[in-house]
Parts: sequence; C-alpha cells; structure tokens
Amino acid sequence: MKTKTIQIKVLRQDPSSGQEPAYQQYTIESYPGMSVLEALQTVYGKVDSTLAIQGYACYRLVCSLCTYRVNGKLVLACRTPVEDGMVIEPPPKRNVIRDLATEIVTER
Amino acid sequence: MKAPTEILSCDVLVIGGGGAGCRAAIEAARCGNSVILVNKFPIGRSGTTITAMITYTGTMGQLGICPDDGPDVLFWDVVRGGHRLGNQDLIEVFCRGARDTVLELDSWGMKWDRVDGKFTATRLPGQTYPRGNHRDAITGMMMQRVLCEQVRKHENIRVIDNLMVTKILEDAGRAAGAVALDIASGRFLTFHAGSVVLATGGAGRLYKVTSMPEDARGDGFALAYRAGATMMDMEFQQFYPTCVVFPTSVRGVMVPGAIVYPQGARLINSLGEPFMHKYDPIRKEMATRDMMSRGMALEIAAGRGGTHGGVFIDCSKVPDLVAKHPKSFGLFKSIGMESFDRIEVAPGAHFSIGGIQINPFCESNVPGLYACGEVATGMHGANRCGGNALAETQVFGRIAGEQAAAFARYNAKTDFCEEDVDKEIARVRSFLTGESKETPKELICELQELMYKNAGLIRSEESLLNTLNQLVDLKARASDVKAGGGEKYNLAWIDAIDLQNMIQIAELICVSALQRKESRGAHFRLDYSEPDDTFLKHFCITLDKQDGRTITSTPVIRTREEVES
Repeated sequence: MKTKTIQIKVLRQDPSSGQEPAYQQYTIESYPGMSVLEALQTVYGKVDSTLAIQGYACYRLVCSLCTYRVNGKLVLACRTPVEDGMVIEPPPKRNVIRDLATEIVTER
Repeated sequence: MKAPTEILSCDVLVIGGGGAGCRAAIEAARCGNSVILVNKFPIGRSGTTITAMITYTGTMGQLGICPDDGPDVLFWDVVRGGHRLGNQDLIEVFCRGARDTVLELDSWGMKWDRVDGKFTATRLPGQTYPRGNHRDAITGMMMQRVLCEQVRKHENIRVIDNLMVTKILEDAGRAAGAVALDIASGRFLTFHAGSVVLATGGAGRLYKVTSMPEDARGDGFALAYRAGATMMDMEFQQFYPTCVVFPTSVRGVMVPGAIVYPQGARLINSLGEPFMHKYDPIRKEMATRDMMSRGMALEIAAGRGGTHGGVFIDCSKVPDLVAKHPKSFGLFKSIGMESFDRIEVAPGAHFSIGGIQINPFCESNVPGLYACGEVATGMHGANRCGGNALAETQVFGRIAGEQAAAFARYNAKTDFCEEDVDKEIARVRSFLTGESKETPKELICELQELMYKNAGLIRSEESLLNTLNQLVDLKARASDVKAGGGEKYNLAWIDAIDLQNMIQIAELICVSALQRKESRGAHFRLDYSEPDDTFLKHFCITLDKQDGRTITSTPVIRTREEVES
C-alpha cells in the first residue's frame, strides 16, 4: 500500500476559554482512499486525543454529522478524499462546543 | 467534596433515541406521563435505526398483497429462521403486532413505497412470502424522521441530546433513576424516575469489522447487567457477510451481495476461485447470512484471503452500480475507488441478538427496568431474520412505553441513595486526571481486533479461553487509562467510559459462547460444529453480590406444537 506523509490544518477552539480560535497543523500518514473523516479520526486516535470531532459517524451517507468546512467548502468528510494541506473548520453558523464538535439543533 | 449535579425528575426515563426509544417515549407520553428521552449523540442523526437501509417486516396478507400471508405464517418463519431458539411468547407478540406498526408509521407520514396504491415488499431469504416493506433505500432514516416529529408533538416529552447514561440507580433492587454525563459540558445530571426504559441498541462495535455505526457500543448491556438484569443469549452475534475491509475509510460498509450476485457479481478468494460451493453446495452465494459469513470466515481462516483479512467480490460485470447504490458504490467511487473488480470484503458484526432478557411486557427481572429493540433479546433465537429488527423496535417500543408508564403510575417513586450518585461520578471522573501511556482509543482498537479474531464468527474452547485471558489483562490496563483534554466534548473521556463497558460485554459474550458446545445459527464452534438439540435452551448471566457471574440456563418458551412441514 502506497502511503504518503501529509499535513492537515484544523481550526481549534474552546469558546468558554476566552481564547481566539487557532489553526493547528497535524502530520499523518495517508493512503489512496483515505477520507477526511478517517484522517481526523487518525489524528484523534494516534496523534492528539484532545482533538474534538463529532463523536458519531454512520459511514453510509445518512447522518451528515461529519459536515465540515474543508478548504472553504462545506463537504461530508466521509466521502471526501483527504489531500495534503487541507484546511478543516467547523461549519459556519453553528455553535461550536469545542474544535470541530458543534451543536446540532433539531427543531423541537 | 460533593460534586454538584442537577437533579431532573420524571415519570419515565427513556435511554436511547432510536426507533425503539422514540416509540417507547411516545407511548409513555400518550399515557399521560412526563417523559425524558436522552440520547448519546444528536437525536435523529445518530444511533442505529437511521442506518437501516431497506426492509421492515409487515405481513402483507393483511395489507391485501399476499392473501395467504399472515401472523401464523410469519410465526413459523421467525421460529425456524432463529433455529428454534426464539422465545415463542415474544414471537407471538411480534407477529400479531408487526402489521399495525406499518400502518401506524404510514399514518405518521412514512409514505411506504407503493405501486398502484398498494404496498410493495421484498422477499428475503427464509421468508415464505415477500413482506419486507421499504421506503426508497432509506427506510430507517425516514422512520426516524417521522418518529422524531411525533416525539416533538408531545409536550410532556423532554429530549436531551449528547447525554451519556453511565449508571442505572436503584433502590432496594428497583430501578429509580440514572446518572448521566452531559458530553458537551462535562457536567453530570441525575435522573429521578418512576421507571426506566433501555433502548440503547447493540454492540457491533465490539468487533473490528462491523456494519454498525460508531455509537453501537452496547452501553445498555453494561448498564443493565450492572443493575442486576439477566443477560441472555449473549453468544449470538449476527454478522453480515459482505462488508468492505479496505479502504479502511469505508470499512464496514455493506455490499448488497444478494442483489449483485444475480447480476453477475462473483465472490472469490485470493486465488481468484469461487468457494461458497464448498460450504453451501446448493445455495452457494445465495445462502443465508449465517452460512455465507461462516463460509467466508472459514475460507479466510484457511489462508485464502487477502492482505486485509477479507475475500473479494468482483462486481465488474454489474451495470449501473454507482447510480443504483449511491450509499455504497457511490461512496466508494467518491473516495477514489476506481474499479469494482476486486473489493475486499469480510463478514462484519451486524446485529447483537443477545441482550437483556425480557418477557412480553418488556420487563427485565429488575422491577421498573424495561428494555426494547436490539438491547433486549428473546425473539430472534440463534439468528435474526432480515426485516425484523426495525419492526421489533416499533412493536416492543410501544409495549415498553405503555408498561413503564403503568409502573410509574402505580408505584410511588422511591429515593435512590445519594452516595451511589457520588460514587458513580467519582468513578467516571477518575479517568480525567493523570496520565497513561496508552490512550482509550488504542485499547478500544485492541479489543475490537481481539474479539473479531477470537470470539467473532469462528470460535473454539481454546480461542474463547484465550480471549478471556487477554481480557483480564486488557481490563487491568483499561482501569488505569486516562483521558486528557478536559471536560468539554472530550472523546477520549467517552472512549474511556465506553471501554470499561465494552470489556464487560466482551466477557459476557465469551463466557456464554463457552457454554454453548454446539453450532447453531450465528454461533459457530470449530470444536462442536453441528447443532445439538440438548442445547435448545438459553444461557443467562447475572451479576451476583460478590461481583461474580452466575450462569444459568432456561428452557425455550414454546406456545405452539411444531407441525412438520
């Protein structure tokens, strides 16, 4: 399997801390077929377990919880191949809990 | 020091917001009770129900499609499909109730697929008649949507998202509430409830390869077991035969074998040879899920699998894959899979058959504690038939809600012991402070590898004892694991809590599987490879006062004499 070392940038923040959001760069091993979601899970699992991403994933395009802003565009991270230099941010207009974990408001 | 916690009071506390939990909450609310419905992640966008693609069992005879079909025909299909191990009192309830739930969901706006105004249904292996109702290929998602709408209509249901229950509180052996962690804030909530319904789903994520979503970690099994509930049939874990193993970004995604084989797809080993004829000479690739999974696992174990632990499905001759299957082949294409001629697949954990023992009123043996859906057990026996999981959530969700409401009404609330709350919060918080060499996630991955390899599809006394041994070591390391990262939405903290539950469930599975010295349905023992009817009984495990396990067996409940067909 051909692997490649890549870097991705993730916007991190804790709104209750009073500190401004800041980008953090992570280095991971990628391979052809790795999604942005798997890349983020790899960061959490192997590089930095303090990174917060949405804790649920369905892996079949039904939950859309892995909607993030990648290089300025809203995408489903599970179906987007990861690339070197990608910038990943939470979706705009959502209340951020921490890092990429946001409040999902379902009408009720 | 006493940790500050908010106390919320309700008649009925429902844990888990999938199909079963929503249905239970709706029914309890209809009975006039105050209900709190909690879900570990955002309700409507998490859990297992939304991931169910297609079939929902309803008997079509009563819907005017197959006049000869009805509850009696379905009854024997479920009994035989479960290799005669299903408790027939539950099967009776299921068969009589399934049709009405189809109509109820329809009245709530489900809009089942119809042709000329009549329901259309798929016939699945093991079913005498077509009775798998569907809505596009997103049946579960649509179901969840209409259920959430109904939940919203009841002012006496309060929904709380991102809430992880870590303990059922008891008073004198009766369920009295729960302690929960608010994942977003890291604060604890205590529930004071008249009765509790568990609807937390299965534990497919105990295994490395699984078609189950990220949160199918079996919280409810561990909660119930620690509260004194009897766990039954824990050795039975259904596997879906063709789940992708590589690329790992789509690991677990199901390739719909039964649909693509008739269109020219082939299942082959690493030598390029078809192999299913060796394991099921007549049905070959169209065998039932348990036989397919067993055949594939044996072929892989014989060393004829690929580098990622699977065999291969060649779909190169099947037309329009991406257009017809956007949520599987469409997904593969979008992450860069260029051809579908050699997709590596292996059986993945698909449905936890075992669970909390219930009677037809959804009562566990703990007064005030009810269970419904995948977390409960009894009707499926040794193998779950396709389509029955979704219908089960509605048939038994309604009963659990109604019964839990009645219990809360006729039994005065009791007080739980505040010391239990403090102890639980201290236990959960202990993972936050300090440092450990290993992360919770690493240990979860190790557990998943271990269970998949040794206690998954192919089991033996040796592999099970070996697993139990390794679990002792893993348990010791897990109890010391730490999760830095603070209190707010700390995934490592959740993983650390889940890990303790998952190890406990893994032990129950192995202990139960050791008892069953035969092969039946989803349970296959290399050292006892044939069914043996002296094992036509259930194994039950309870936690005794000394923190040890008590294992007993109980007969299969039969309501009808079997007629040879």
